Amino acid sequence: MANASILGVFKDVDSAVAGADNLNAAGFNDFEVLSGSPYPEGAFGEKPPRHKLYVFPLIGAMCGFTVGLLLTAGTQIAYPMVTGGKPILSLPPMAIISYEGTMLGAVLFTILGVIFESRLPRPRLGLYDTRITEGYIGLFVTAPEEQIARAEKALRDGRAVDVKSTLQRARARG
Amino acid sequence: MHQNQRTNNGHGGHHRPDILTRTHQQVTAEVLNRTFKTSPTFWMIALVLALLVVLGVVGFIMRLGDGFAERLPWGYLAAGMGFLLTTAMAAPVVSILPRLVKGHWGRPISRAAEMWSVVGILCTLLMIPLLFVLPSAEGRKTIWFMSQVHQNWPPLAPWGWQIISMAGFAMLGLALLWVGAIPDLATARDRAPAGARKGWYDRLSIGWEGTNAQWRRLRAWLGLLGGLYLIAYVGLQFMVSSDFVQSFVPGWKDSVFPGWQAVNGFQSGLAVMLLTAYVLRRWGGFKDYIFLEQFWAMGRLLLPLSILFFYFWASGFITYWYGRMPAEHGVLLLTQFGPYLGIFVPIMFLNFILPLGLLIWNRIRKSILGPTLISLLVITGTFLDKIRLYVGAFSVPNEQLKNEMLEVIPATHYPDIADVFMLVGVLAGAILLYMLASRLFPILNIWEQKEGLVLQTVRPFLKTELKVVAKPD
Repeated sequence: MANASILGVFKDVDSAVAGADNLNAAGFNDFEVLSGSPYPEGAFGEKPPRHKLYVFPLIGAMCGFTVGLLLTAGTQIAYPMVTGGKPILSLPPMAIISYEGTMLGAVLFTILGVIFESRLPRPRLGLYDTRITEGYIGLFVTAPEEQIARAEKALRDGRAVDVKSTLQRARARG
Repeated sequence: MHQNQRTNNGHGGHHRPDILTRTHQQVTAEVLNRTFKTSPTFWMIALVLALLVVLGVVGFIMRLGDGFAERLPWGYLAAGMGFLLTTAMAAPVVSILPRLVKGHWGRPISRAAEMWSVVGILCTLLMIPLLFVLPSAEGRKTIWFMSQVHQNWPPLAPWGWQIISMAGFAMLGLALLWVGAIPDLATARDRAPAGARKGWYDRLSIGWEGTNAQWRRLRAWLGLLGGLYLIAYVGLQFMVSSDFVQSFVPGWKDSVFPGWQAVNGFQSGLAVMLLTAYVLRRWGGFKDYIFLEQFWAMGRLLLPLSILFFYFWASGFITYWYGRMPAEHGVLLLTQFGPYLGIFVPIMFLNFILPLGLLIWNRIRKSILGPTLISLLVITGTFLDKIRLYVGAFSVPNEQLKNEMLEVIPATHYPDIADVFMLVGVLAGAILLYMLASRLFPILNIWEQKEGLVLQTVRPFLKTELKVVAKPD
């Protein structure tokens, strides 16, 4: 069975919390909150968000460090200068360039990571209600089609002023 | 509408906290209303500024008649660019810092601060003609490598890197402005009447819906862009001030100078924001959004920055004063005690002595008018300082560039009519750009205001009232 989405629109935070409680009680734990301003994470009892943003700077830092190391080591090996009988590869300057490379790599990959993770730009809005930017709260659930009616009941019982679903939209289009 | 209208200070009793007492709907409606509707006075001012910009273009065309063989005629245009770089382009820092340290006082002025980054477009345009009078790095004491092994290293130096840095910084500023405004652009998209404006909001809000995940990523973006802007600003000041000022004066080898210019930038950026906040509160219709708290917080920052202005100057100066080698003597004479003494003394008063002497008083610091008037002094001082530095450095003739010291101290270079036109045009252009940007971007950050409504409240405590701020992270 295909998945469908449903959006419940609530006039205030209290009714949104009641709606979120109903969703949790009905077994819909993985819902998304839509709001016109950021609320502290977990304010509506939603699941802690998951993201992999930390992976990007980590990979970037490793790449940057490797490039820095190869650049400095490669340069010294390509132009070997023996100074006072010391080893060709000098660690202190290598450490500085490697550090700079690490930072640069981390920053660049973080930018790429944020772009990737944001899934923006989105050419078309999904289920959405313009009242959300006015202070209303939206609770968005994606579930198998046969469970959507149950989610709708949970949202309406939580005093949602409006409920929209992709099924309604599909029906309206005929 | 706010709970307490008292705006003075600690002497007539404890200052009761001001807090916005609007609903989410009211904030949205009021701010967007001021964005969508433009008063005839606004267009009148814009028209006058546009005419002044035309005057600036006329001045520029007159200046073109002098050609690019000599640097001196372009000194005042360079001073104009340096002034914008040190004031308007530093103003977004006032939005970045409170956000990084989770200071709630920055909410009402964050967008107004970020909007000054549009001046980066003008700065980039101003730099183009100046590149034609920027000589090769050969023979000058520059940050670029000029040796037997590498001529003009890295490639394109100095011209290519200067313009890349300036344009890159301008784009970074615009990115910061745009990213921070995406939720408000989405709000405007949902409210704007059908038409071209709605189309713009639709495109610029890139499908923003306000999901938790989007809010979290927006914070990551803002932290990242803000941090980069802060770092890049210091870097750009280093490049511009060392290549367009220091390297033209033989014998000027001062590692503190670029840092001093960056500190002067933070000081002047703050002053620009004090003035902007005052204008928005007094004439912009945001009296119920911008309170004493914002002026007080900025005044408290302006005081140490004014001290740092002196400290950085003194750190550079003291080496030359005690060294007193002929080359060092020449640098001091040109920049401070010779042809530009007449503006050097006012600069010290305007950027250090007066701000320090006035801001140490609680009654002045903890007021709306006090820090605003002091910000005017600082901006004026910075304007004179850029004239002193850029015009002074540009007045050193090409024949002296390769010398180890200034053989002859150039005379004071006074502005001619073309210089005055250009300076007026530059200043008017910056303000005009800002005003036009305010027709597209809501000048007050709607989503940060709403977040403030959620996280802040005033509670009674014994016989007084205190502001209680929730800090979720």
